[in-house]
Amino acid sequence: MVLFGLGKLFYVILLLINAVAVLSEERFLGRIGFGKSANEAPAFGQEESTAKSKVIKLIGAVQTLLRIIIYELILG
Amino acid sequence: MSYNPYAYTGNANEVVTDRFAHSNGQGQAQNQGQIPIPQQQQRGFNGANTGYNPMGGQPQAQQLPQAQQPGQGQQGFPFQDPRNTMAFQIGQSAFNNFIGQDNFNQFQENVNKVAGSPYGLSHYFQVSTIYVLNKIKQILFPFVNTNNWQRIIDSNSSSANGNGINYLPPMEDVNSPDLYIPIMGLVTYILIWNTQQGLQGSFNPENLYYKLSSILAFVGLDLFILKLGLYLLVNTNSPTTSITELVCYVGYKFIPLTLALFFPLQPLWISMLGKIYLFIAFGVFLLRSVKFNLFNNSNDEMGSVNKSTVKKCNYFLFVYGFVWQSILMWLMG
Repeated sequence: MVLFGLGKLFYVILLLINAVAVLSEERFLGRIGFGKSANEAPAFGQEESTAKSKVIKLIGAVQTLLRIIIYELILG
Repeated sequence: MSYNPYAYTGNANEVVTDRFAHSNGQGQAQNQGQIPIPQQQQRGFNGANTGYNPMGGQPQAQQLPQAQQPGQGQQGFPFQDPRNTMAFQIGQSAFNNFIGQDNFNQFQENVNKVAGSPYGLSHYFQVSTIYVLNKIKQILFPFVNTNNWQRIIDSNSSSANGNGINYLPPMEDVNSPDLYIPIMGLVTYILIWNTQQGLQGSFNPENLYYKLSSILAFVGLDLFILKLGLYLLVNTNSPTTSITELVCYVGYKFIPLTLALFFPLQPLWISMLGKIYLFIAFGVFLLRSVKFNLFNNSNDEMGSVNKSTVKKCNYFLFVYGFVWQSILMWLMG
């Protein structure tokens, strides 16, 4: 295999994305306050997008995307 | 005024002075005073470079009759602007007829969007020798830089994509990031590393691929971390956070890496000391050049940037620039 380093990096990124995707909503994310219910509309004067809300959005996006990929490609 | 693309052959003096002006890198402004076009004089010194940008979002670049505007081709030397050559125009008209004008415009917009920068990639390749020397000096000795680190906003040229901010190209602003130094640095680093392997008698052609691949993996990881950190912490749409400019900042580390290869191995403390100095200098350069351009343009949009955001961003950039870069360069080099 020619691409030694890139291949390893691909595995690392794939496994990290998988680790994000398998986080359970009610068992883990909700308990530590990273669930989707915590991502409410900001009150007046509050900062619109904090780092936490961006993390929550990112996790949701990754889970949705991987779900679509699994349904479309593997099951469908 | 109808523009003749071969007009420079009739006027030999203009060509000679233009070439001389480019070799100086300074004298273009004087030169434009000699050309009797009022539109060009209004655009002044900065307008001279908009003609060089073949991928930029300027609408007159994509239509054949308007490509012969008088303001574009007369300054500069003749082979710099490919838009003025006849082969380019014929090819572009054929291309437009084949694909269609709208599709072509859409394609160019998509390319610019994927690149993540308000201008095309060619903006980052407009470098000159003086710029490259100054940039290398800035990377190696960031402590002696007494001028500010903010990039100069190009106020004369109209904003191409409605973004409102246009920075000067690297040829005229030392603080502007470019893509020339990272690409050349990557190639130089790989070649010098393999040459050293060859001098030690263990050259293997596979090492070329191996080194390139592992370095690209490290750079990709580095870029991923920097982009993720800036995405999570900073809430600006400054062009500094676009992928293209982050590639520039990430790629500047090849200069200290290449220099670190030249340290003698035998007294260990000398190479240690040299490497530590290079890492610290690069950290200072990265921290300052990213930090001072991050919140540059957001003042007029949001009123004021939150203080805690600036502080968090500074902490992240410090950890990234010093700790993580040192670890990464130690692993790579």
